[in-house]
Amino acid sequence: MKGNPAFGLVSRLVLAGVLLYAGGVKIMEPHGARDAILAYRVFPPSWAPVLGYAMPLLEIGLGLLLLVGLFTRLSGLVAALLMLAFVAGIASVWARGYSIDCGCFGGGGDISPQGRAVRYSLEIARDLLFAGLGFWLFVWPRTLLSLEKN
Amino acid sequence: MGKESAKAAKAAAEAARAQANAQERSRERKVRLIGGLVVLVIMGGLLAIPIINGKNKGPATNTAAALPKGVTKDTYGVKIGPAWTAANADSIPTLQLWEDFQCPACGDMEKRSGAKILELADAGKLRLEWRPTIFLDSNLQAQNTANNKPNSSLRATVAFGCAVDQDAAEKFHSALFAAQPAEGKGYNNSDLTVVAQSAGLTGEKLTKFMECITNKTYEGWANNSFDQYSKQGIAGTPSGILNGTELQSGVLFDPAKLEQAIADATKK
Repeated sequence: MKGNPAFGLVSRLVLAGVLLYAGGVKIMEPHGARDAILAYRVFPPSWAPVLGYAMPLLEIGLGLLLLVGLFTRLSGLVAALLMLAFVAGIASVWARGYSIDCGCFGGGGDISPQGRAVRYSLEIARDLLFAGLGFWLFVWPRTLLSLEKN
Repeated sequence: MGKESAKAAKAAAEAARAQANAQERSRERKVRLIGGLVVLVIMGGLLAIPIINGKNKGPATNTAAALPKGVTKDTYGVKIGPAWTAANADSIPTLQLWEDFQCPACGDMEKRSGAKILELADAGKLRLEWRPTIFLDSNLQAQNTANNKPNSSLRATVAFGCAVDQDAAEKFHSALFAAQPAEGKGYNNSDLTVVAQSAGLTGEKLTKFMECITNKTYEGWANNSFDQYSKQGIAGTPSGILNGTELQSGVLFDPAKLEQAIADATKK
């Protein structure tokens, strides 16, 4: 089984686009990323500034690697795990009864609870889809228009 | 063609393939090394952006800043209601309510629970303390500036302090959230004067309020309260902290559940 190199290319480009956009928006407003991380109430507040810098850098690094098709297997795995971490974060704030903007693409912080279930469900479904693309690349890293052949 | 030459041709083809494979592997090693380094260099370069942006942090606490009536340096919050000075004050729960006047979720929370919170505070059942923060000024800078109303959270908080001095804390706070524009539109001083009028300020009180906002009397105080917000690592706005424990959004935004939580906190 080699998977489907054309679908692999699509997966790479979709994930790269999402990660580069998300990371780019966050790095332009690192206070926003810090506040978004605080709103999750998962990490101690003192970690938020460091994570607010590290997360967009990781997203941009992964996005670039996936864009050109380098270390595809590893990048796909890390991207998938990152997406699952986001899913866990959203599920956790949902279960604990907070209403936040996921801060996925900038923004973040507390928001009104109106329409919370629908919003959280859609965000989780979207991130699971992205995680699926990442795992695809982990299993079948051979893709079209890639800088590496295996 | 003999068997021998066929074998030789096959061997030669295999050798060529092996060589091609080796060349490909070597090319890939190079591409991975160079590509990996390029990505690392780009990430390192991007690290400079937050370091440059990180410089425009809010000012540190200025202990000499003027404070609105009744505000003390331990919290810089505005204490509301008679419970604070009641004989049994210690048995009445405290609610620290962190809000940014530009935050839409705060406006929504006020619409739902604001009246109940004030009712309980005014009835002496709750030691309510409003804790203003102005973190949205940096997030909304572009929109506020495009609308010619930069630093609207700061300006609104200054005006709130000015209204506290004119004994209009509650009415001004309610009127300000009732008049909250779409996120990013912001407030200028004439907007805030209209809010003060709708909060019932007239005559000399209104004149003093306008002097106070024009002189930006409480900018230092607003920044000090924001500094507390950052130092305490408050997770966002609105945040309601009842007797030291943060309330879930589902409770804070629901007046019935909120009243129950406050009643439960009172029994303890």
